[in-house]
Amino acid sequence: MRLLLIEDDDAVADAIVSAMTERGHDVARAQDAREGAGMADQGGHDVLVVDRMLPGQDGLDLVLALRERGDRTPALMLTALGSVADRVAGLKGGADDYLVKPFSMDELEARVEALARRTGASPAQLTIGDLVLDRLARTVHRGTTRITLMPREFQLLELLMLSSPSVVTRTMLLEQVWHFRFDPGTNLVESHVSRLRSKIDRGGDPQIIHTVRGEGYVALAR
Amino acid sequence: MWRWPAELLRSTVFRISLLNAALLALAIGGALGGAWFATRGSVELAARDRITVEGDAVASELDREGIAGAAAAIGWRSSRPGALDYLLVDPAGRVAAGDMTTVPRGPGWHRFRIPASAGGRSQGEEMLARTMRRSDGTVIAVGEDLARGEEVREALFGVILPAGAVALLLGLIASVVVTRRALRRMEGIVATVRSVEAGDLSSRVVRIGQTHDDVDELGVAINRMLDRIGTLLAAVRRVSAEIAHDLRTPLTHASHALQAARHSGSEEVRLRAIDTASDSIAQALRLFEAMLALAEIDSGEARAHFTRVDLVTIGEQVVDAYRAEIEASGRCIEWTGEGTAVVSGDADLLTQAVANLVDNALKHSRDGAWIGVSVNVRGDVASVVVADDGPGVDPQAVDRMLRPFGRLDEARSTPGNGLGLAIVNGIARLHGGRLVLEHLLPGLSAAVELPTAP
Repeated sequence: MRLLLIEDDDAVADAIVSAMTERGHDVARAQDAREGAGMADQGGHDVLVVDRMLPGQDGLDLVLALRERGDRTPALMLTALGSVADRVAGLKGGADDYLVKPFSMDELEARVEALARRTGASPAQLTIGDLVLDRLARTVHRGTTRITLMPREFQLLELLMLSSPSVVTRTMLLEQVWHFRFDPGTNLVESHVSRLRSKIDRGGDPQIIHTVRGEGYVALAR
Repeated sequence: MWRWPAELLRSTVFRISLLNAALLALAIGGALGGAWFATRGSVELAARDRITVEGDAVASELDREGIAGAAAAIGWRSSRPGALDYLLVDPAGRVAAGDMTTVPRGPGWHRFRIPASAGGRSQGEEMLARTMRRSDGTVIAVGEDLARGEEVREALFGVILPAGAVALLLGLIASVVVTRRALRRMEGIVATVRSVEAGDLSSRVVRIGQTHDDVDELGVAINRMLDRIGTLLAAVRRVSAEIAHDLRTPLTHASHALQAARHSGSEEVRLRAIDTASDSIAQALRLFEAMLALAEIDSGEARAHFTRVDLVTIGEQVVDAYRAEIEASGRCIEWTGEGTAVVSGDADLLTQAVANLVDNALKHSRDGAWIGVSVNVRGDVASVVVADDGPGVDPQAVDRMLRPFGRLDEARSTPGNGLGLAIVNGIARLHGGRLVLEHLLPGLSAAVELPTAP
């Protein structure tokens, strides 16, 4: 995946560049808004990662300007404070996701991958191994067996299958399935995942939903 | 100690009393001056009345009994106490009676001074007189010594003026004394404030009188403020200690795990130790996040982005999210809520508030417990109520529970960072509402009560 990182803080930028490069992504870095806009205009990036506090310009204005020029490349904002005002402004102002500093590189990678995927056409039917989820009929089958899921379980599975083979973090699940923009600090996600697992991995079938320790969950036929 | 009189002159109280004294002096002076001029007129007016009556009486004697009769009448009148001065001159120009020989002879009213050499009763005095000239040439003049009235007036003012001056002086002395006393009390207050400034927070204003005057009130207000600051500081100290304690635990775990990883030869043990360490660090980070969240809520910043939010939707979402975990733990959750309960607020924060309450009920209830979540609207108050049939709390501990890190001792063994209810309380207050904790016998009910949106 090709990322354009627009970040003036060298320490943060170096950490992101080395972590993402190690994970097999191409990262181009711009040090300020002007350089960033120039590089973005050349195109060829899957996702923009933009710091909000750039010298002389709000990163959000940069994204807005890109949007006005017709650039639809998904953008993830990095904010220093998790303030409500920043969040509301960020999501209304053309950014597609935001991440509050400090964040883990796993979280950044998962979110960037999710954003990159968002631009592709999303299929009506998702298949992993013998597990088939029909997004229009809202049905799930494992082989020939129909599996009945609660609406929230369906959403959870849909998100995991759409993201496969990428990891979906716990925070992303909380945000996208339950609209919780805070950490409830309990086993809420774990409970739902284990309930979902017990429904789709019945009868000694190979496990499809895997826990990635410290990161989140991934749906894989493994 | 204060230096007389520079300190005194600088004091507000003294300056005010000095101003008061000046104003009083002005008022007394004005009143006395006014009285002086007013009574001066009245002395002359009364004299005029008496002169007119006497003159008319002498004239009628003259008409009835002739010159001799009138002269006799004047002689008799002059002998009375407080008598006026008279002059009767016959047509030939001879003085027939009276001693006011220097009176102007032209008819009408006269003001004149009798020369000291003129002799008679009123020599050297300022006189008011009326001269009448009859058709046959007889002249009747009646006059009065104005100084006689003046003397009374002067005697009166001679008493009033010194009395006023003494009153003023006494007033000034009294205000100096009062000011000195007030200054001494102020000095006590200043000393207290200085001592607090120097770091002794236990210092208090001690010389509080029984009169409850403004200086006493100031002292009481300062003492109350110091009490409040003391309480707040104690709370800050307590919270700092709690934070230090709550952070030390996970960080110590992480440190131990990393040391173990360093000394172990087994890859498996190392990986497990690293996992333990990162879990512990994540726990510490969650505590920081909760503290930042609480600070942000308390800042009130979110109010600028309030929208219309339906508590029924939020309650349903939270119950839906927690159902799996609650049922997996062997407890049950019951949802009651219909229609809408619209408030003005931040959906994310309100969701967090309800989630925290449900989370609390889950953590602090026994296995098999019942947890009920309901939303209702009464009048213009919308409430989300989370109740359980657990052990409940001591009603006296409720205040403590709402404080940051206000975990009750019995809750120390259960997971949680001690900020959950403080955050709910903060969110309720942010929305102009409140968090109400009630003992259910058995169980605890926690209600977030918010004003409904119009």
